[in-house]
Amino acid sequence: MTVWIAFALGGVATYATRALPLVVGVRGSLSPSLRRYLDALPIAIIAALAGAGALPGAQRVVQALARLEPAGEQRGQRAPDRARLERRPEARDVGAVLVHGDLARGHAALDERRARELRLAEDHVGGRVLGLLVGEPARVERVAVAGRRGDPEDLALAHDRVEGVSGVGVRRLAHRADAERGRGFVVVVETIEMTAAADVVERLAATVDEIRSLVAAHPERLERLLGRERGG
Amino acid sequence: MSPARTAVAEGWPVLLTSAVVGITFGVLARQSGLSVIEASGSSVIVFAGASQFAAIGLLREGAGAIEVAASVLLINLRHLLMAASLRPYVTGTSVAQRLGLAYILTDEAFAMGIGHFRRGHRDLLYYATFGTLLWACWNAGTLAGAIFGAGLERPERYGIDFAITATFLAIVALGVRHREDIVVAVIAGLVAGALRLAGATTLAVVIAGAVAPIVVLLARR
Repeated sequence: MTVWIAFALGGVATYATRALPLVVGVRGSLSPSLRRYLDALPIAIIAALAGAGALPGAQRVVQALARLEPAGEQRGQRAPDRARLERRPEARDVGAVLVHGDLARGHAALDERRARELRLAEDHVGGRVLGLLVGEPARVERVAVAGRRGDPEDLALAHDRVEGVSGVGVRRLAHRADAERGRGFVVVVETIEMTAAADVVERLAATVDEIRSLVAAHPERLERLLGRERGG
Repeated sequence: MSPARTAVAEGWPVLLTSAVVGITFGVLARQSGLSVIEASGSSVIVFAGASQFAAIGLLREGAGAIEVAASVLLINLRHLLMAASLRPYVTGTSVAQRLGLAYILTDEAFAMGIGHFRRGHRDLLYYATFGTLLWACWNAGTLAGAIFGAGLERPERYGIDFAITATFLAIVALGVRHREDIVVAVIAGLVAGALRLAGATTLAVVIAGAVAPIVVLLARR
């Protein structure tokens, strides 16, 4: 719905700028300074959007380079990151599951969100979809496959691929094998450390539980899907 | 040659480009999470290329409707100037006709139309034909791109997830006409990037873009 409201408001705003001078007319003339300002405005705003996208991207590259550990530091131990997370009093762990996109369809609670939010949050891992944390104003700080939290480098969790999707960061597992090493294929438990208000965390936890219940209730569907995937 | 045919003969390279850019928009919109209908709806309702790219960039970042609409308004404020320039040539038309002509007013339609008028012509058919064809090309391109974009799996393999930023950079590069534009763009880009790194919202970033030209204008005095 947000998308359509945005387009409707944007359409009205755009149309007003085009129609008013043609229909109503503009009395007097604009000052040269205002003309120059309006002339430069589109480039400035587009450049701002480009800068907002490009500089954080460059920062992620720098951070990725910085993670090439200094001599003597143990592999996988990113002390600064851990300390930063621990300083956040609101950081909480929320379980999430790996579900196939097809499996999620037909579930009322997910269908409600699916139209836009799940689609935005889904993240392909092999042929499957990491469907989690849909459309909530939370920020994912860290994702780890259960039981392997101590070795994030080995999991190849691409920390430089954090994406802001509807205010939710979704990280990609770099290798399909990482997902398949999880606890079975029915529910691959992930650990999500994220920062958000307590009520948001509660809602997200409930969403994750819904997904987990869904997968647990229909393991044969997921198995069939995964079998087809492996066979294909 | 009739004004309509002249519009096609003179404007086909622009129309072709519009279709190609429309395809790009459709692909990016799809990869930003919009459905085919939403992508096409954007092109039908807003019909303003640069601001549509900005809108999907903002929506991808999780911006709200007001933020997106405000950004679209800021980007399209220049149409006030274009429409005011066209007003002398539409004085003989009805209000309904003017409303229709306003809908197809884009940068390209303005450039082609005002060029036609400045060559001494007074008929509006040239402008109306070109604007309508441009609308058709843009929307057909969007639809094709949205359908094609839906078939792309793991878009990051093709770098499409960075394509919106790259498209913004291309729009800026193509839009630079004076040295001052470069200064404005660099200031806006750096300030917005710094704000983003500091955790600012997308609206703050866009406002930084709106303020950058003021800084440059004040510096000239």
